[in-house]
Amino acid sequence: MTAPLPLPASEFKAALLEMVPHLRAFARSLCNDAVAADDLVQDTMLRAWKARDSFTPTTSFRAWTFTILRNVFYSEKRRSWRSTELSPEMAERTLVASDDPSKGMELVELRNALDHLPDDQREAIILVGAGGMAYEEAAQIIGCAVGTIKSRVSRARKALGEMLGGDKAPKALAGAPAITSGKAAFNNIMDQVSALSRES
Amino acid sequence: MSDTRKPEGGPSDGPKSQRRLGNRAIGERLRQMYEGVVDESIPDEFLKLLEEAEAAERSESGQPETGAS
Repeated sequence: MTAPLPLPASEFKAALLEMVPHLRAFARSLCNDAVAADDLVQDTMLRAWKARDSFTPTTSFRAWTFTILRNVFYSEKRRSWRSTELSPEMAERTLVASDDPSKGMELVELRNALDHLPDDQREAIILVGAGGMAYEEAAQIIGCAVGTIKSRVSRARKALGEMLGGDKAPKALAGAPAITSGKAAFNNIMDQVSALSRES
Repeated sequence: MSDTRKPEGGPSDGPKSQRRLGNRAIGERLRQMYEGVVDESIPDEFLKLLEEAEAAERSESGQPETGAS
């Protein structure tokens, strides 16, 4: 075999398992459905495992696995996994995951705002803004120039700022009646967010 | 790892519109969204998945477990 030295299987497996939390975070940012996101991660893991001989430790393992995840996401019919609307299930999960209800609502708002971005801006802001990646690593994953990523991120930030910065959104929510359930919160937010996105 | 980029910047940064949420606040929310998932505990099925894949390969190749060769 002429391939450069791959990782031994046991090391590869350990590295892949270590990456799971990040893969889940990336996947869940891409598709607003926790179950579909985990499904995407599992598919990614199996593909990565089968392709492990093609990974060489000279590349970033994170970039390598994220590239696979992204390819799986955009291939086949997986794109439909990203529904145009945030699922109540996801919103509730997001709310429940936060011990501070107003923080939870901010995140639901954010997820909804992300939905309104074009795909290319969304993935760029997710990788750089949410995942904390360098522009270079994001460019490697997406397969485009660093400058392209920079401009997508900048446009995404601006658009998110406009969608999230309305006077109504966080302030009205902060003064809103106590939220007693995820569903109530969800409906409340969806009303406000859709009003906002119509305005802009 | 994250820091060849500037936290904020670019010509579009001015507080031209008071209705815009600032880049810093957006960045914080994005990080929270992401980190919130990273911090979740991982369901067992993820580990099981790999163990099964590994076991399947072993039985296909008819090899008992071998260490590094």
